[in-house]
Amino acid sequence: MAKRKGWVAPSNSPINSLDDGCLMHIFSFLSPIPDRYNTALVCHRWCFLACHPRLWLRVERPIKGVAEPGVFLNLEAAISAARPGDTILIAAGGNHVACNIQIKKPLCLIGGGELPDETVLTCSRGSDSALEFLSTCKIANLTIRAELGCCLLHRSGRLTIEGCVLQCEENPLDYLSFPIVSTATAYPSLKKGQQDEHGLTVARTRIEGGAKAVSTNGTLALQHVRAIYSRTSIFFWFEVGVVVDK
Amino acid sequence: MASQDCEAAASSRAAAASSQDCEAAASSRAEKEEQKTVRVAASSRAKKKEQKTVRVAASSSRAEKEEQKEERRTVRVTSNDGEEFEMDEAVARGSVMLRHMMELGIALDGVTLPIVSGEILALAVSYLRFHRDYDDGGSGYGYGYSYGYHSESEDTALTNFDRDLVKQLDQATLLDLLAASNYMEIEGLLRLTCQTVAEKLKGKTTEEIRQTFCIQNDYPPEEEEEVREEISWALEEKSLD
Repeated sequence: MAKRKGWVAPSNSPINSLDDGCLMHIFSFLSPIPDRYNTALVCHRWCFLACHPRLWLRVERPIKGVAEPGVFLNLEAAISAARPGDTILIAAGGNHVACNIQIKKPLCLIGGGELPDETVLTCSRGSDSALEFLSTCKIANLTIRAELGCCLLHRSGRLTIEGCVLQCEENPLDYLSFPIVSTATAYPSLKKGQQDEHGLTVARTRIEGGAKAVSTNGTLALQHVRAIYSRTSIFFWFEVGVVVDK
Repeated sequence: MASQDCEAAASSRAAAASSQDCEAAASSRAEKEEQKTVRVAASSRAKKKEQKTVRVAASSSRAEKEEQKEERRTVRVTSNDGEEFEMDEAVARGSVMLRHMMELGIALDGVTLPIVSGEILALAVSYLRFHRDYDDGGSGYGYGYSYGYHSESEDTALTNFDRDLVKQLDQATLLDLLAASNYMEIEGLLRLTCQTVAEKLKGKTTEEIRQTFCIQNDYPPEEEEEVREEISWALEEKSLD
């Protein structure tokens, strides 16, 4: 990490005298990785603006019926238009369909409601999974409901699931219906301590239905499981990753 | 009104075509109506021409300055240091702010821009003059910040004029021009300047960005590390810089 030099500079650098809208407009021309990430670390104000929801893609029905840039009618369109590192905000309510959507670039999907229950992605009977992840991704505040198959299929990369609800068939046929299926395999990392292994991190997520919460078909293992039973449901925290020999 | 009649004639013609009986009668009736409306339109057009020549004749007797204004319709824009620029109305419409002022009728005695200097205004005016025919003026509303979504096709090839305009600008002038185009709501120029600044940010590390733009780092080291952790979820490699 670069040491912070004793940088003495005018407190009002000319670029910081631009208003928020202008700066966000400039940032919108940068790709999230690595340029917008670098700008976010410059100072507090830039961090606030570079990560601002105004720069996110949105999945919602446009109010005026006029197509706005950055607003998409369905999740698939938003995902194909997004750049690696983008965040997609999925509007609460409505009927979002997610069937076998493959995600091959790092994306963050966020539900737009107060509670995860307000934004529901439904996966219909004919599909294997709602979302299939082949890259490091993060999802938060969403409900994913799979009528027959699995909710999330994790193939590679690091997947973080935070504050979500995963719902599956109540009495499923064993081999079909798990909320999470991970087929990722560990591979020997080249440098020690470099965290680029595949894995899955689940936090504060309700898992309902399914034969068991997660099925690991690859070489990763379930670990660090923590569950809290609340009055109406169970919240889980766990990780799926490389088993570390102690 | 003439067009409405023509439309009515066309629809009645169409209706007549679909019905089989009285076809001949209907078509001849439609033809007669059409002839009538054409005659009416011709007569109203002749009337308008007549009125116009009367008006022009009358105005030529008025003061020359007023007549020029009515026919050429220009806007006078003054910078905050007193430099004046005169533009055709069509040119000034490239700036949404000026367009609204003209529509509200408050630009008749000229417009003074308190935050735009003469040097910057000259650049903006030259941009407007060049682009008067090429830009469609946009929706005249918002150039919404496209929510971070820019398709490759939207990064259209800049004209040589655009490239030359921003090429020789130093950083301070470029940022002033950006602020001015935001203030005057000139969509194309705002996008051009923002893209240019974004080019200067691309490929740089955080520290290099700070140096280029003289920004002081207001993160204490521990917080910087925290923020880095938080936002780097998508990175394959944790180490950067």
